[in-house]
Amino acid sequence: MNDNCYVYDPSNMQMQMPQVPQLTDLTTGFIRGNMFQRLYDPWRQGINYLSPPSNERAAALRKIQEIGFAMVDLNLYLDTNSNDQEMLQTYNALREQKDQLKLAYEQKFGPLTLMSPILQKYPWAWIPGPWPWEKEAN
Amino acid sequence: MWLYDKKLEFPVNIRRKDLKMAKYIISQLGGPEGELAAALRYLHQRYTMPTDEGKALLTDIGTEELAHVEMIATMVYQLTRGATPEELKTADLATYYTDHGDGVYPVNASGVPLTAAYFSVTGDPIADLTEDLAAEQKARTVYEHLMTLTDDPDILAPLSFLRQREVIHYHRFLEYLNKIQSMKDQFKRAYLFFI
Repeated sequence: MNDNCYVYDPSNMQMQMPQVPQLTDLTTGFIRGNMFQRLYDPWRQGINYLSPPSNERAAALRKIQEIGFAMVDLNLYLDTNSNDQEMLQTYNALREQKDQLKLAYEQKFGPLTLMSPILQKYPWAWIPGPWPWEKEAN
Repeated sequence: MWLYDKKLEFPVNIRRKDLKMAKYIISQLGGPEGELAAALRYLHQRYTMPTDEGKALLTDIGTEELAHVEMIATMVYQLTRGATPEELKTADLATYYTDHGDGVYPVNASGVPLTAAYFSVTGDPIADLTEDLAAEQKARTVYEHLMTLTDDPDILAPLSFLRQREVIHYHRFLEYLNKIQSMKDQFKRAYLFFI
């Protein structure tokens, strides 16, 4: 099981961030759990698979999850690389894209957070499931 | 303050019941290298980080760990739906069932409940961050072990995602540790110069 090649070949080990980090596309990064194309290559690769969404709602949510994940990964990168202006712009572009998708999703399927404008609707729209741990939500 | 987002960080849709895998995976909820211990570790260590950058990093990674707690709990929940007491007995889960029924409770693979003794807070950033690096590597190893125990792609997909996140967190902690180490060296040099 110990086939992480850093164990056997330290010269492959890329411990430091490359000068100009290159991002993967959103879907690839999401499936990998890593938005940075060349970073962490020496680690054993995982599997490239995503369970199919169980319904239309779950499929629409995937887009938001993809962008949301990219934002999480860029957030952590920016915490330790706060002078990377280009990455900061990418982060903000993603945020704008996510806001739009989120609004469209919420109008159709209900609020994702308690900050949602959809909560103006009567009755209180926060309650209805499926809740995130239920299969129908994924 | 936290704001709940009514979605998982990464989808979990496990279509086949697998009680044995539930018994193993639950260790990443309530075990020593689990996500809940990780979240508690970073969210308590963050108060005494020496720079704002460290406070941000530990808050954000601690927050992401909470999303991982939710993913693992979801996996356990889905893997155990519809299990009969007979099936639970066969899967060695009758002791769990006795205390927790079909609920989700943070224990390790041997049934020992979560304890704060799984992590430490020393108030010393070098000591705390060094523990964090080890914790991420240990969690990565546990995910690799879990991935060898199944060939169900519905289970492998979230495990593979979570494993990769451990690697990323490790690198971010390392970047920050290197930074404060060199700050400390600079400070030491300046101090010696003035003596």
